[in-house]
Amino acid sequence: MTNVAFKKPLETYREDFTYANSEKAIKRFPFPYPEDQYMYSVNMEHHVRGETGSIYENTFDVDEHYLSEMEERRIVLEKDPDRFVTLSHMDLHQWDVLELLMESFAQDYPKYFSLTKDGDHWVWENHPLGIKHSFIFGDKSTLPCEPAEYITRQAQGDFVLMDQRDNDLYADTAMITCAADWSVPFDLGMSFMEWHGPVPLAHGMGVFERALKYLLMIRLGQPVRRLNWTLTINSRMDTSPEVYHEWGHERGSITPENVGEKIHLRVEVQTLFRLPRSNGMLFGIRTYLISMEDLCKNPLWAQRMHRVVKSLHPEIMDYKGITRYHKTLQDWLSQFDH
Amino acid sequence: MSTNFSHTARVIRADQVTPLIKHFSFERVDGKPFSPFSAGSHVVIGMNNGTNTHKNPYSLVGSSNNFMEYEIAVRLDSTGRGGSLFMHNNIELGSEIEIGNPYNLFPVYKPAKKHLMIAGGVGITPFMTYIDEMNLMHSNFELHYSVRDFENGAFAKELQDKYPNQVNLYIQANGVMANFNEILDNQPLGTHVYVCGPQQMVADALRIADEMGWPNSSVHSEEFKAPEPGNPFTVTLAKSDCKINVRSRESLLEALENANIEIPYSCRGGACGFCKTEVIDGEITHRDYFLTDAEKASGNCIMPCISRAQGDHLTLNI
Amino acid sequence: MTEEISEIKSKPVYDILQYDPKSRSNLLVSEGNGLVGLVDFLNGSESIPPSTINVMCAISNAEPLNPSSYISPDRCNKMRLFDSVNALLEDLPVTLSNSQMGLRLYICGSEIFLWRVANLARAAGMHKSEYSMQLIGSKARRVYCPHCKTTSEEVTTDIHECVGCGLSLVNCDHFSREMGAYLGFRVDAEAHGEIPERKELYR
Repeated sequence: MTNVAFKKPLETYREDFTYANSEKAIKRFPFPYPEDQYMYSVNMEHHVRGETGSIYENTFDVDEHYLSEMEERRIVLEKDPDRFVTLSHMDLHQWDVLELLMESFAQDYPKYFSLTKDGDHWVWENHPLGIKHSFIFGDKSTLPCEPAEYITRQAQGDFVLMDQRDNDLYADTAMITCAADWSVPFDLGMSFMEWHGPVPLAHGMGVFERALKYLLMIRLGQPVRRLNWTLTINSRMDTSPEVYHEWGHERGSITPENVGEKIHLRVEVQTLFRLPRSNGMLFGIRTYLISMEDLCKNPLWAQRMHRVVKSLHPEIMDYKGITRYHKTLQDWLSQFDH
Repeated sequence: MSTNFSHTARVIRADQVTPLIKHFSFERVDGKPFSPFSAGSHVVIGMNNGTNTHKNPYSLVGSSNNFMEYEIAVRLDSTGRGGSLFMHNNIELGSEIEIGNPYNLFPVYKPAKKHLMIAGGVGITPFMTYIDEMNLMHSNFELHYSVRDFENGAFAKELQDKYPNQVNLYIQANGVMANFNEILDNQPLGTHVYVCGPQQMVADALRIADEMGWPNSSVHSEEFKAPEPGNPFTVTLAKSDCKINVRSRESLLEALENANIEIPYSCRGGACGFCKTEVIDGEITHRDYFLTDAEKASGNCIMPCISRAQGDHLTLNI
Repeated sequence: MTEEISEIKSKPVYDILQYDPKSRSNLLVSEGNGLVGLVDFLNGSESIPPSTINVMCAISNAEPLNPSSYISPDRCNKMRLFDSVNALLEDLPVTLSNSQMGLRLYICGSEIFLWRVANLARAAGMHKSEYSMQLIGSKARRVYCPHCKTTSEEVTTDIHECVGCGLSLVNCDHFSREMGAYLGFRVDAEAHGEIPERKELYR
């Protein structure tokens, strides 16, 4: 059984940025580079359970930041309720996601979550957040908000619910409070290609055509995952366009003295699940942040990070917003690569 | 995606609902619920007759809200290769079969303004779950269901009783035929039509929809072919360096499975694409719906569930 | 930032109107100079039965076009003129709700007009394969500001001041069909006050 030492007092992902990783969290961080050079690829693998203690031990990873991240989500939604958006044909998808998350949590973390079913009468308990709620599955009026919003306020990471039609996947419901610079509700309702429109190079390489073809055939009970990454200044979860005017200037704040503390590697563990009742897909985007300082405690990671940063394609660098501080970061990382 | 998931299940009800159609309900032997599924899903049923295993796809017909049971309806096909015959004659209360995870090649188009279903005979099966979902979602729908005679209209009475305003029954024995021109005429913008039934009926409905200006995006049909017998041939497996004989009444996929070679599959009817396999040598008779014309012309891949060698041999890159 | 995002795949690409011979009825909709596109379309598709064609044109008083001199009455079933785009857009949902499967919609006009019409078509249940669009006239953009959620209309420059929050926004080619708008974002977010000179790009 998984035990989690929830961070208390709550950490912050804004203003004073008290977010920090424990030794355990650093050890299990999903370092994303298989090679010394980075390029886009359809790097998907089956989402199967990993070793005890790893981030893949459970279907959805609940870690020491759980309470803090849920508070961060609450703050973002309070300021901007549109970070959860849905189109009207997505009811079944929403119930699918509620069921998938509740069942996975209750099965993987029985100490913290429980789900009791009596026909359609369900009782959900979330001990860490102090929630106990009885509701009727399928009846929205028995929940305080939309089903997908309800459950994703209690699950780390962002979630996009996709409807499958026309041999395509449409982003028709989304809970996005830790976006790596993409906008909900602007992207709501977009097809797979439109949604990924701004990503440079990969379209020409055929990455998205191949990815879409693969995703359309994902089967029930056989989820897949991939890693994506970017860099973020400070431990800021909400790097969305909505508040870009507030955080953008931080990209100009990097000096040789503060690289290790301020620059964070931001890794998204992206998971894709076929949804049973709707035949749609759940796209989970679970974000992990680690400061360069903590990352470089691992000499192999430090060396590879330097080589990846050094050889990064200029267009990818620009797209990820790294250009402004790229040289300062590269110089700082060079100390770990001899 | 190489694993073909399955559970052992036991028959808990078997009713002859028409002279040709038998309705089965299954529960899992381990007592656990089945997975929920979406309207229009099918499952593959594996049945062992002692010497080999038949695997046939069937639409789920049961309520999409009771996952302790899965239900299917099987039409007896006396000209087929024996799967439905076996289901009718040998599968009874208490029999155990293998049942795969649901997969959907015929899903409801969720944003449609109106759903128009056209069924013929046993083609009613996917619409049993459609109607459940549409009723649940308060969607606008119509069903047009053609049967040979009332006796042969599986679920006809139950559907008419439940949805008298939406269900239109056409009993051919009484001289009442569905007129697709009339059904498809004057439908509001945003209507999607779904067709399932005998091959000729599906072809007619699709042709008429096309002539009446329905865009392809609004027209959906479900057609699995059953594998047809053909000439026997030999298949060489280049990577595993062995030869297998494919008999005239078995498909290439079945021959591979009987030799314990696992190929991913779902529909076993040439539609889903899972079993696509690379061909290195030999001419192919393609019978599937999945490969593009260019892929078929290239001759370097085959859907072994339904397609065969044109000559007496094929070499596969597995 | 503006150069590297010019190949964004969500940016719409327009063609000339293409007749779909499978159509049962054809609704032609234009605004301003878009009428010229409809005329070209009809001239190039002699085979369309006039009885299947209905035309809706918005002709503003400021731009003196006489549509009747371009589309003769025997070329269509009915032609309706509107003295403003808004009047046309108010009528269109009613027309569409009385239409049946088999209809094809042909839209011609400014980019903003194209997507306003397309969105009404989609709301009426039409699939993108049931309408085609030709851009004639203004390429001015609607630009969505994610910071304050206001959409500025008729933006002709790469950088403009958001009508909602007043920030200087640069618009990129990332386009939302649902919103009929391009995405903007604060141009000097990373270095406050560094606002490049604006260029007029979309006229």
